[in-house]
Amino acid sequence: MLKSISVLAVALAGALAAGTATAQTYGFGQPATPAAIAGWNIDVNGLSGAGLPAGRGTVAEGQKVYEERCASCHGVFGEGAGRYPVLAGGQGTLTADRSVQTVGSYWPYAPTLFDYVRRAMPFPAPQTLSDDQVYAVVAFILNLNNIVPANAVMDAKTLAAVKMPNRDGFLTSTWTHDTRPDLHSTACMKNCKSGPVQVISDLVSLHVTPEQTESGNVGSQVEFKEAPAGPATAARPAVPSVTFAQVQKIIAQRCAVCHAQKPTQPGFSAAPMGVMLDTPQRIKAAAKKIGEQAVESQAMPIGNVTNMTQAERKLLGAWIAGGAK
Amino acid sequence: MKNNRRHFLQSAAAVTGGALLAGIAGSKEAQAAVQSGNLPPDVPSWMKKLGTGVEAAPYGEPVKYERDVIRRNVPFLTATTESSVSFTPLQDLDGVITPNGLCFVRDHGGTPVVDPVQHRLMIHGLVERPMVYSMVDLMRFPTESRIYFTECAANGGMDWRGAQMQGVQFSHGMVHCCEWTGVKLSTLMNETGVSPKAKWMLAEGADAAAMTRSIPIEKAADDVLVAWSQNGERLRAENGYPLRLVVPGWQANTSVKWLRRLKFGEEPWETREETSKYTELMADGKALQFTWAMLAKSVITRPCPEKPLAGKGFCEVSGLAWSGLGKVKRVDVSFDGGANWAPASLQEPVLTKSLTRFRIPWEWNGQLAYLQSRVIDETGYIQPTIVEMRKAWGSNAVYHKNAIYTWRVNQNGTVDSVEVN
Ligand code: HEC
Ligand code: HEC
Repeated sequence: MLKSISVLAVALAGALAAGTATAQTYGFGQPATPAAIAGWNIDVNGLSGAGLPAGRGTVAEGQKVYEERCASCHGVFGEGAGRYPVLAGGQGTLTADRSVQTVGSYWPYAPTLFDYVRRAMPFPAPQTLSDDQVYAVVAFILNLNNIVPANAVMDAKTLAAVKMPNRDGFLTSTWTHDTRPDLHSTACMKNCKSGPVQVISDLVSLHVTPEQTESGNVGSQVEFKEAPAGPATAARPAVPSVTFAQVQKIIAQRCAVCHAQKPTQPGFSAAPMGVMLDTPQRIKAAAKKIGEQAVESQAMPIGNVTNMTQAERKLLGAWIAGGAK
Repeated sequence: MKNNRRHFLQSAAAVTGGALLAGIAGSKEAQAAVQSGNLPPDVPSWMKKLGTGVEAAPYGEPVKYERDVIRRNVPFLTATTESSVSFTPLQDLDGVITPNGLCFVRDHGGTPVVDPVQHRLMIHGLVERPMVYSMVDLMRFPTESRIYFTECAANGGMDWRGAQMQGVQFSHGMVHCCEWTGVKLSTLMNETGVSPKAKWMLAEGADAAAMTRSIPIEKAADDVLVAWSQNGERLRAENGYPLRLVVPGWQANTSVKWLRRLKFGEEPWETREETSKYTELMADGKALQFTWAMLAKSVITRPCPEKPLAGKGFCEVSGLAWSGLGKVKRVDVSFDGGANWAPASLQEPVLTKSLTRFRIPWEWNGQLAYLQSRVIDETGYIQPTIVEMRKAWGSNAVYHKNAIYTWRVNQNGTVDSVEVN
């Protein structure tokens, strides 16, 4: 009697956990053998480190792996090439207007890094590193972020013990509409605005309003009734037209001193990275890269040694947006 | 990164803006139609000869005139096309079902082409009977078909700092809505005997990202499907062929594609996709984690920047609304930037966690207008304004932007994306 009650209780608990009242099973499929499970069971718990395999790696070994297998995308110092993810730095920026979220500044748990690199990196050839290599490259990335010293050795025990700087930065909860912070709405139906409707952000005006802030689009306030409208039939151009002559002048002044067959900038004997911006054809062909380097990331001109202005960057952006003709 | 997005979108605006205006009356195409000899009183040429035979297209494709109805991506947004997103052309779609070839695609390690005969689903961890299932095994279980929307948590994220997306495809196109068929996850949980100690489930994909997310047991046992069909046919490779999870109403990233493994455990795994990504950094430097549900959102899909107004007079304003918490209860539309609102009509049937089509008639007098829609779901949640959201969330958020969206209708009938106070 006692036994059957406890059996029933177990069955019930199981059914509840599974969220179903039916006890019917079908018997399809094959039992997963321990060997089969071992091959696929690659997850590591980020918080506890459960699942971290045997093996070890040093920062120095990791640097070698990193330079061969990772740096081409993530940069020698983890700074990220182009739009590839930045892996290092950004500490102290989480409350800044533009935060930099990296392993060092944002990730709460170190074992997550092992789990992710082992399953997904290097991007073009995942699951090709040995566990020792993963430990080593993880040690190197943590060292790049000043989280572990240069002589650190990472293994299952030491990695689980690493305390990440942003460890306590996450509020974990099952967020619902009651707990999410955007809940001040009311469904007003009539006369819901105290004043006239104002445009606070206007994509079309992004390039045209010269006194725009750095973020580009806040501050142009247009009254509802007085907002400018285009001619009744013709399309209003989305961006003002920029002539190539304007573009060429800027590039000649700000870029071609370095990016030319024969650079005039002291210290440069050849065009950096082979990028030459000294003829109209070359400038047009490089439009996309010019946009990336001089308008978006603003990495160029290097150190802004040629004193390029924001207005010039905007103009280049408008030229590219208009088809780079 | 954010800078890159901004600049791309300006260029996208320029391109689509020019192209679409060529399409309205008075265009080259319209003039060609007049001279074609196919308009009344002439008999159209396609009535005077035989069409193609029934076997001409064993698997049908859209006619050539619809070749602009395609997914599009944002080349500047990501470093590679393998970890990137391609958006649903909401501006071209009617009703609520997204055709399979147009469902947005968000991959983290490219789209693998998985042989269904060689694909396996492993279920293990805190279960009595760890199992491996082939596709044939899975299809023997009792099945269900359900219509659900699937929305990327980052849908709309590019507009967090200001209007940047000149087009509804880019501002809202990381959502699709399909009829999914598969076995309920609860059936498989019962089958493998999930332990009462299990509180979490890890779902893992068979792609190059080996995508992994932790899902709490309550949700797993509730309405999650292990699906192999999408709108009546097998999944498309880019949407998870041959097997995927469908986690209704939640960040699409949890609906793991190419599903190969489910592991039950006591704690969440704290994977990279639920710590580094898919979390929300707030103004105070703290981040929200496990913000799974996609809260109510709506958008007008006609008119929109891609579909300008054709002329003064009657215009049916139409759009989509949805909520990850349940059914859409009401959608209001404003023509004056949110000062006054009127309820739209909802197309029946209104389904839970599904796209819902709304419509409202409008007489356009040729004047400047600011169109908005606002959804209220069955829980009473009201879609917030962007001003409210930004105040509460700060400037570093990426995900879960569900604010009311504004289209400015200009006097020439073109439509721009703007934000109003
Ligand atoms: C071909 C380019 C490429 C190479 C090589 C590469 N990665 Fe990556 N890495 C990426 C891309 C792309 C992502 C983003 C993937 C995504 O989110 O879908 C990424 C993401 C990451 C992240 C997560 C960043 C974050 O903050 O979430 C880490 C950590 C990482 N890579 C480490 C490595 C390591 C270690 C190596 C070398 C073993 C490596 N990567 C090699 C392209 C690359
Ligand atoms: C003072 C010299 C100098 C000036 C001026 C300069 N650059 Fe550069 N540029 C460099 C150097 C050095 C590199 C190589 C950077 C590196 O190794 O990371 C480079 C690289 C580049 C690249 C290739 C980047 C890549 O990753 O593919 C582009 C594109 C570029 N510059 C564009 C420009 C543009 C556009 C301007 C003008 C707005 C400009 N540069 C002005 C020195 C300069």
